[in-house]
Amino acid sequence: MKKKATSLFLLELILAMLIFFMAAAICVSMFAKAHEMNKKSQELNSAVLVEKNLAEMLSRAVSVDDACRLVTQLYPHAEISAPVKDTGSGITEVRIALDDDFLETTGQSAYQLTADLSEDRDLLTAGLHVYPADDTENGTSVYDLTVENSLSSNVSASAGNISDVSASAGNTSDVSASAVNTSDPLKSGTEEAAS
Amino acid sequence: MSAWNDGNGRNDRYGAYAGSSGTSEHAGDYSGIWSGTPGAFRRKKQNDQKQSAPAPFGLPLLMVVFLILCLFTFAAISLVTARNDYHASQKNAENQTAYYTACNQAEEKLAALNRELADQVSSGEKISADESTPSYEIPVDDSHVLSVALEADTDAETPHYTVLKWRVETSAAWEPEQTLPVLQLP
Amino acid sequence: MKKGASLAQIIFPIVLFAFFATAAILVILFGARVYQSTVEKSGDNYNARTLLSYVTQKIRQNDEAGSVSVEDFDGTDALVLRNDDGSDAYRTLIYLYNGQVCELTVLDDTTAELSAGTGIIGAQQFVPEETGDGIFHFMCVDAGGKKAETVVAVRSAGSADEEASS
Repeated sequence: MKKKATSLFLLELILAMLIFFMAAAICVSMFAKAHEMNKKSQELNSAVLVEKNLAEMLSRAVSVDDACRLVTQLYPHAEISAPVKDTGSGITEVRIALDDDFLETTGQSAYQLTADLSEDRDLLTAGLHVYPADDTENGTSVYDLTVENSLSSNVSASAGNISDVSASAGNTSDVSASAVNTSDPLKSGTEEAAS
Repeated sequence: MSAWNDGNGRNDRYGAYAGSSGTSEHAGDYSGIWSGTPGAFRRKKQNDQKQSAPAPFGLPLLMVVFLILCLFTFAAISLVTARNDYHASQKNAENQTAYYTACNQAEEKLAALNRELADQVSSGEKISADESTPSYEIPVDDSHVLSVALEADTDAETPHYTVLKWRVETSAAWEPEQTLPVLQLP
Repeated sequence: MKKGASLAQIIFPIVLFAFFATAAILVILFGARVYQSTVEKSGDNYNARTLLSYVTQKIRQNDEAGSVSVEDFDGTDALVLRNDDGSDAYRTLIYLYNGQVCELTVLDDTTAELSAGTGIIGAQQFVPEETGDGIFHFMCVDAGGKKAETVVAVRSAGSADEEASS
């Protein structure tokens, strides 16, 4: 009888363990999903803030060089490459290394903030992206933002404050018959919303 | 007494476990069943003792029910919190994108107006009052518009428009949902 | 031998039960830890970022020539937003007072005190700064000690720069 009681108890215990571990496996997968969602939303919040700050700085630029100056005010260690003149695209690339807290770093970076600046017919276009550091080449960005800025309208606003305004005030491209070379902000916005 | 003596040994034994108080007063009731079986008396004694300590049946299953409830509550709340947070972050990102999309459209229009103004000034055309203070609105989302007002600056080295207003305004009509009595006048 | 066998019969279920109970407790503790970190991370920076987002929206809704500036208000740096509805000129002040970021709307020619504002959100620090050229920099440390910064640019030109810099 004792043997029967023990075996019944064992059977019940094994059944209980089976049920518990099955339920635990489901719950642990839910925990993992929650943790991943948390990390993604932290990344997105920080990327939006960082790109918004940069976009606001760039909205006061009067030229591409002035835009680079404003970027270095915010991020002193930004890497700025000369525009690709040979291919005629004239894009100035700015790369900023960010750590896990989305602060600028000179050491190991966790994220990279990139800004592609170009100017066409008095319109400065900046394509802003945040990529995870280990996935910059063809990885998906955390957040994309395209910012456009009419350069000559900024001149009067900044006339009293920037010393090199007079040098860049007349820096508008020659009016040409070609189409305006700006990226479609609606398209980039839609791509971002879909991601 | 007759229930234990009906000859159906197994049921009798189980019934004895379930209903028995385990006292020796029932010893005589078993005598008919157990008599003649080797070691019967020892087994009977063990069974009697066994009756006094019921097995913990149901304890593991009970524990499992509580543990699963607890674990599932944590998991569900974590997932719901994280998902709500993620949706809020996405909404925030969409709002920023919508604002900058509207700003980009406004800047493109401003750049086009600047070019037209430069052409007009360079060709010596007179600028009318409407053309000197244009304004336009670009929708940001369902309930907001970006309202832009400009002023022509023809005296500058490069004629251009100065931004007088670059404001996000609400386009949805405000409907009061409830009123609050403030002061009763005689 | 039978005594050994019966001992094993008693010990094995107990050991198995103990293993099950330990595993269950560990899983529950793990779940509680994940839940705690999820809630902590979503609350992290929430107050500071909400405040900065609020200030950004306020500026975007008041971006008109001469409307936005940072001025001294009763010994504290305050963000000042001016608007005129035609009949009266108002100014809205956003500043830090008594551990709370407060907002106060008064007529432009009225003097007011720091205590007259309505508290919006608790904060340890709130520093508005105009870094020139229509660019405003805000630094905020919320009640939990979390720091956040943001930059907002005013696109309208005009007297704001001269007023702020004078």
